Amino acid sequence: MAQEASSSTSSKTISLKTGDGEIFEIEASAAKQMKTVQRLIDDLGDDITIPLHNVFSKELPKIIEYYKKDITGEITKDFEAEFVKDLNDDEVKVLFLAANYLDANKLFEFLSQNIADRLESKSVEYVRKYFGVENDFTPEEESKLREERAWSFRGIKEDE
Amino acid sequence: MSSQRSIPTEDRISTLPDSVISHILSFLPTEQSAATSILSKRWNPLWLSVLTLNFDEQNFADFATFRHFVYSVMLLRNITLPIQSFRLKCGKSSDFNPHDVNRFIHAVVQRGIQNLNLYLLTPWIRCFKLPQCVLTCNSLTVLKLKWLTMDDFSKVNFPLLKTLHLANISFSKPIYLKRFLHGCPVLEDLQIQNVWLSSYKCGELKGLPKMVKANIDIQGWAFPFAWVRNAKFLCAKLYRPYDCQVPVFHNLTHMKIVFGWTVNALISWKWIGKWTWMTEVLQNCPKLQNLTIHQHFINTSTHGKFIFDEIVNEDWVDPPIVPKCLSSELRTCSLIAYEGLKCEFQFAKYILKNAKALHTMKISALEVDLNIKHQMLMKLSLCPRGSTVCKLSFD
Repeated sequence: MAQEASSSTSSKTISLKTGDGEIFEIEASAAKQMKTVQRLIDDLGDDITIPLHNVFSKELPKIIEYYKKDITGEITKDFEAEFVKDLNDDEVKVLFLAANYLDANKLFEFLSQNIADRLESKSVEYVRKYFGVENDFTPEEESKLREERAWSFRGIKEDE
Repeated sequence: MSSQRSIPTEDRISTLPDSVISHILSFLPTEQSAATSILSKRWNPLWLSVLTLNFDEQNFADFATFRHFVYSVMLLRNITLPIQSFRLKCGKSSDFNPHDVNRFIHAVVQRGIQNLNLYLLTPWIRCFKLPQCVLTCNSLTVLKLKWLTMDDFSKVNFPLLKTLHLANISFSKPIYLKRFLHGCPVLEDLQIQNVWLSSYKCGELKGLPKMVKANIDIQGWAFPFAWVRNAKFLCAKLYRPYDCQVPVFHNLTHMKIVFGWTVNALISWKWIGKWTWMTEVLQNCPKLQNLTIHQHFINTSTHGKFIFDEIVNEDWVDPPIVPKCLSSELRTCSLIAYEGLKCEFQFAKYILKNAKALHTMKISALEVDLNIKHQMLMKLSLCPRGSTVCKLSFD
């Protein structure tokens, strides 16, 4: 009887469990692109389900979709544009945080650029809200700063 | 259960480390990232730690305010902090002063610059000359220059340069372009568009050894493709085919050829013999997997076009040997702006017949009329196919 050939690492899949308990499969070669996942695999082995507490079932499929395209070398500008086309600013933010947590460099870089593009010319208040920044300047301090840096506020929409 | 250990999004975004925030800021134009200094006390200094500077004059009222901003930023920034990436786009204002730009470039070149992008918009009579200090800036890995002239120089030293994009650049003699490329031993990505030389002869240059990707678009003189013979990916827009000597591309897997057409030619002849030339090119690309041919003729509605084609319709002759890439390598072939003219059709037919590994033949027709398009599709789908898995896609 013919021996069953052992599966090569390139076709092996890894199971990932999201923070809300759902399980997704991903190719081992794609998992390698996410350093956090790879570290967990190195520590826990590739046969068990890897727990990802800070990634949820809403965003993980999108991330898997990106890296599926990446391992076939097909990521183009068109693909990336399409990838974020229907996402609103908050959805991109969530994806970005997940990419940061997963240490998925390529996606992280791409989303950094996309966030910067979305924030370009947005008001100061919008950016504050987006990053959850608390304004700890007094009104006097803030108006002094605005005066000193008047040249940098040209072109930025005023607070809505 | 596991949600006990997860952190809400709001907290996660506000606890992002400074390095991540600076990283996002590095993708913004510098004056926008400067505006974040009023967000909070923590954010106040972050924009000054960004290693990327991006200055675009169009966001400022005039050159005077623009230069004031650039000087201010350079002075506010910690002098020991390197500048990794510098992009400067300016030159349109009437009060443009090249001395200021020279000073900016000098300052930047001394700060460990890796990625330099200069886009000058000055009119030709006041064309900006690239300062010599750039040519010996040996930390550069990416250099992109647009709309400048190169003064005569003796040496170029870019030991780390991987990417070079030249657009609308003039060199006084071909020797300078050759000398420029000689100074880039590890170049991988070369893009040349509208580089003007006063004469046509370029002489020998060894193929750039690490070449991966080349994109060439030159009118008026014959680019020596031998320089990029090691490339894996090639996109070339050609206007004068009889000048083109095609070397053997040993590593080439993806090739896109755009047949360009200069409008100022009195007789709008569209390069007689180009399909035969194309088969000769295929002979020289033994590893080609992906071929795209785009007939990019501007003003396709002008009257001379079709008449001339009918007069000068060349005859197709099958090449004596089937190119090696067709027998085993070619996977996709794409013909853009297909018109169904005699030799074009014969070329498509030849590929369909001899490309044994072909997956997809994609044809994008120029024609709008659905009936004519349908006829073209029928004619093509009746051609015998050498590959059993070949799909014909037509739109």
